[in-house]
Amino acid sequence: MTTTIKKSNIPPRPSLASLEDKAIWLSFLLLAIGLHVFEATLPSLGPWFKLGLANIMTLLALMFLGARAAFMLAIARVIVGSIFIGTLFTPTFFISLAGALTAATVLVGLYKAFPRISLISLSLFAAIAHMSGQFITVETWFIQQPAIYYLLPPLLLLSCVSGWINGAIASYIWQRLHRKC
Amino acid sequence: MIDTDNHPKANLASFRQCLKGTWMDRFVLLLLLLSIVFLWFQINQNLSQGLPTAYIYHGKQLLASYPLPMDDKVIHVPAKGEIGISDIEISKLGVRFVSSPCLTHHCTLAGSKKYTGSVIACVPNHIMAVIRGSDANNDKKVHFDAISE
Repeated sequence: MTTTIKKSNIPPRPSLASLEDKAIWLSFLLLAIGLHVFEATLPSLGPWFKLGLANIMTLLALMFLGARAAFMLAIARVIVGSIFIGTLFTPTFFISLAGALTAATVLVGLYKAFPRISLISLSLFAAIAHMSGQFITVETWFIQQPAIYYLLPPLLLLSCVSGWINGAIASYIWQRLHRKC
Repeated sequence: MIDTDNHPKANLASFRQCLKGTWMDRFVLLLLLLSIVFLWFQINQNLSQGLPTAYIYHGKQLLASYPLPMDDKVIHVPAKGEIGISDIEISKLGVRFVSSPCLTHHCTLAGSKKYTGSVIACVPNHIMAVIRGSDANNDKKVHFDAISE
């Protein structure tokens, strides 16, 4: 028995450019998850503080693939990363997700408002937004005491340092890859 | 033929250039740093009023508040939270979580805190200990021998 498939039933073949974009997005996602898990294995630099290396991939996704891809990458990275670490649906997961969403929103908003803004400036604002988003979540859902914000200023200072370094790394990778493309 | 672009020295120089940032990046950083330092001073000014006291909260509820002891007295506060009881110790060394039912134990690992504005929080148990007031106020404290009209 032979089966015949009507031509109209076959979905259109995706373009090569679209497939390439998906492949790049997936590779960025894998790298972001790798960095997320790697950071979780590092000795703690103090309570509430992480380097945020995975944000480098969000920055690169924004530059290469656009706002939607960067936003999706930030969410997917936190979800898949926490499956690997074993923190899915724990308070850590929700705090991390809130930070990543706030940072991605600020990144996309700033990039759309000022398309010529540098990666370092973007990363600085994203790092500040990430930390602030986490604190707002902790204050609203968990601790419910404004006194938690006493911790914020020193951590924001550290965020500036990590944001600058992450932005410089993203800028370097962007320059190298962009030149090759 | 050597690819000069891929030479490690060229890569390092290129990364250093990226690390320096543009003048706009530096301006943004300066602006952010100034705002953070201003915020820090504002918070410290509000916090340093009164004698150093440890406040323990569960969510919005104040469970206990004790002035930090000057002698060897040790106070234990059992703070009932969402997942169990956190044992909090208040002594002249400051405030610390002795035990907590959480899995991460960031709160117990934080150790003792005694400085103004120090915060230890157990997020899963919704318990927080904070120190308000400053040691400097001990000297400023007014001692009345008598009050006369």
